[in-house]
Amino acid sequence: MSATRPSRLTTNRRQFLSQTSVALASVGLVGVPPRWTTDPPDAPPAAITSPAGQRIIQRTLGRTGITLPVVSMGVMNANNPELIKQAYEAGVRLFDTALGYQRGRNEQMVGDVISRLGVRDKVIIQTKVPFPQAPAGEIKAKFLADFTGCLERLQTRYVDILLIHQPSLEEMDHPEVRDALTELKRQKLVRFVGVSQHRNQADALRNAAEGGFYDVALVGFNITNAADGGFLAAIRTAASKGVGLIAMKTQAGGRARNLGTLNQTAMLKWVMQHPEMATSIPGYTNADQLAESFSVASGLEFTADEKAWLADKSVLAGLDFCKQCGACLPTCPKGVDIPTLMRTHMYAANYANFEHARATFDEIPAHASLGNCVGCEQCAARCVNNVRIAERVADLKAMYA
Amino acid sequence: MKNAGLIGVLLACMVWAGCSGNQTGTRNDQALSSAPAAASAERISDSAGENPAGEGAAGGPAAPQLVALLPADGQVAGWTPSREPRGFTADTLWEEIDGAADSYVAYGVEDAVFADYRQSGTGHEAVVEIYQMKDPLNAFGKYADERYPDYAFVQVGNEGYAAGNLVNFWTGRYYVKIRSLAENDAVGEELMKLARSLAGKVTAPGKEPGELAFFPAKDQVARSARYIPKDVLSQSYLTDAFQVEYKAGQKTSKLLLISLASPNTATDALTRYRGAVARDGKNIRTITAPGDGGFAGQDGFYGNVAAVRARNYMAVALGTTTEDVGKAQLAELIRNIR
Repeated sequence: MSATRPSRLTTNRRQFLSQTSVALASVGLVGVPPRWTTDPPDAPPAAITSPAGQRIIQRTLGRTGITLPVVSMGVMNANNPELIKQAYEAGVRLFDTALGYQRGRNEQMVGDVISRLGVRDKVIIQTKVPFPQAPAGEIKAKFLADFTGCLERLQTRYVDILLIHQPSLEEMDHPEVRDALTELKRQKLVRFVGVSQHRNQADALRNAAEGGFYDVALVGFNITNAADGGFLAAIRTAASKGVGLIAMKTQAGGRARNLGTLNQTAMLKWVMQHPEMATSIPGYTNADQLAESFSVASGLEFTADEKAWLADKSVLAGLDFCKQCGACLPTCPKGVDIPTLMRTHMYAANYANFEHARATFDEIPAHASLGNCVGCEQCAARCVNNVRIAERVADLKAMYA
Repeated sequence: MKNAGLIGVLLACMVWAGCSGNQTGTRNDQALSSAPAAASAERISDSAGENPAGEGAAGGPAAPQLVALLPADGQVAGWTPSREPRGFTADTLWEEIDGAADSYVAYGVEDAVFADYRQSGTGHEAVVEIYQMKDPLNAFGKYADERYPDYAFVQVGNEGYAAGNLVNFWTGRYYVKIRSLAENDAVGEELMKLARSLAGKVTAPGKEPGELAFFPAKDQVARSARYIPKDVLSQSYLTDAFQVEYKAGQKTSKLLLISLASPNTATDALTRYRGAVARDGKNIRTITAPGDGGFAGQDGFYGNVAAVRARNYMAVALGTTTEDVGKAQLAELIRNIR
């Protein structure tokens, strides 16, 4: 059994190590300046023209000054390097990957394609490193070591945007990680730093906006957030403070959630109709999906079909429904039976079946009833599907007052 | 305003009957406006792959057949469950691993369980993930999708690999991933004990897909074989493919065998693929053999490309050192099928 990777990569790795060894050593805090053959660009990539001659809507990514088409590429689930090439040729300029995707294979594929195409100076590479699981005092070194692996797999001397992958608020502020990120920027191994966040997104955005340390935030944003006032306010604040915002999960987990026929372009347009979002990283795995997604970069106005789809209440119910998973139960300090309350709300609000709603409501034992929902300044209950629990509980209280 | 609207509707219907329930407009307003809401609803979904701390979603009840595979309390080297196992289905897996769920769904995941363990004495913590796929082919497929040829392979289940803080393997319909928060050799050995216990409970471990035996052996990169269920070569109409990598000197190439529903479907797929390659390819021309013929030339990424049909199969050689090498590989592949 062979124990070697393809030789081209081996060669590239050797070249890479040779060319950047001093730079990497300097990241190890020796303080020696990197020996660049070419520096990371100070200016954003040149303006993009679509091969088909269509207009491409571009926006500036906050204080980074990078200008990007409103549609980029989340590479995570792509299994074919040619799709990255096709995306580049279509006009995509930001490619999002992570150390953790396919245990590095994803980064390797991105680096391989960009290297082959010879377009490193024309694209933005965004990757992610998680907060290290290491003892205090070793966190910075582990983070730097992990990032070194990213550079190697990506076959690049620098990364445009490095995100901490899903940090807690404490981890965002952790001095060792901040030291590491500062050092990487100083050494020009990273141009901009940021966070990628699935949880506590509003708090993470507020942290980025107030602290001024993070240049970019990658957040899950889609139509299910439409009424999430706290999150929307945080988005506006972060954008106003110069944090570059990139939207992920733009399809609301649609493909994985098996929500039936989703109108992908309508959902993506809805996201990018928010001017605070500079770009988005929908995932696509074939050429048809690429064409469909990137068509949004040519026009954000809804078509008649898209408007009709968005007006279908069953669509919205599907996107914002309680699946009775029970994940919210531990999040309520009062022990209220939230899943049954959500079912009650669904029968009343979505199906107008008030008799069944009442019967469902009456199923709840006293110790977990709505009457126990008192005393909290702000509802602590959280839903993994973005169901607006507090809002629905308020509706039910109004109903049953 | 949105709240007022919905509450208004609900209040108007408090008589519990006779309400038409026409809330369409209200619901649309919720989705299409960005009006402030009474409270935020932040995502708390998580991803094992993206969150090494393993703080997953609560999940639901775990499927009994998966729970039965999990090591019982203290059964293996002092490993003890530290949390109730969390169960997920194809519809809910995204709650735990977020966007990574797409790939598992593509490989036909049916059920999954995530179980946390702590080892008495050492204090090691581990997360055991079992993905039940629809069949052994897809279990192999997802496992192979995440392996590198240069990993340190171990004999557990059908095949597995180990690094300092993880053991991944496949057996039967199951793809199993065991990981620890710590990274050192000592924990690796302890994880292997969990892995072997779990693998030992699978009575029908299955075997690698037979189609892999059709591929020419010369210059084949060991453990590079993959099964790709959909979007083969980024084409939505190409599904069910086996792919193997080759290395000749410093040049790597790929050979694919794609199974279509019928000879006619294969012919149509080949025609569409030729059109896709021709968009930025060069010297694309018809060839009459091997098999029932197809086309050859240079595509814009891999270089040499040759693609042919044989019965209901389409076979593709990409990036070979010469066109003749590609055609020779295709010829051998097709001979082996027959």
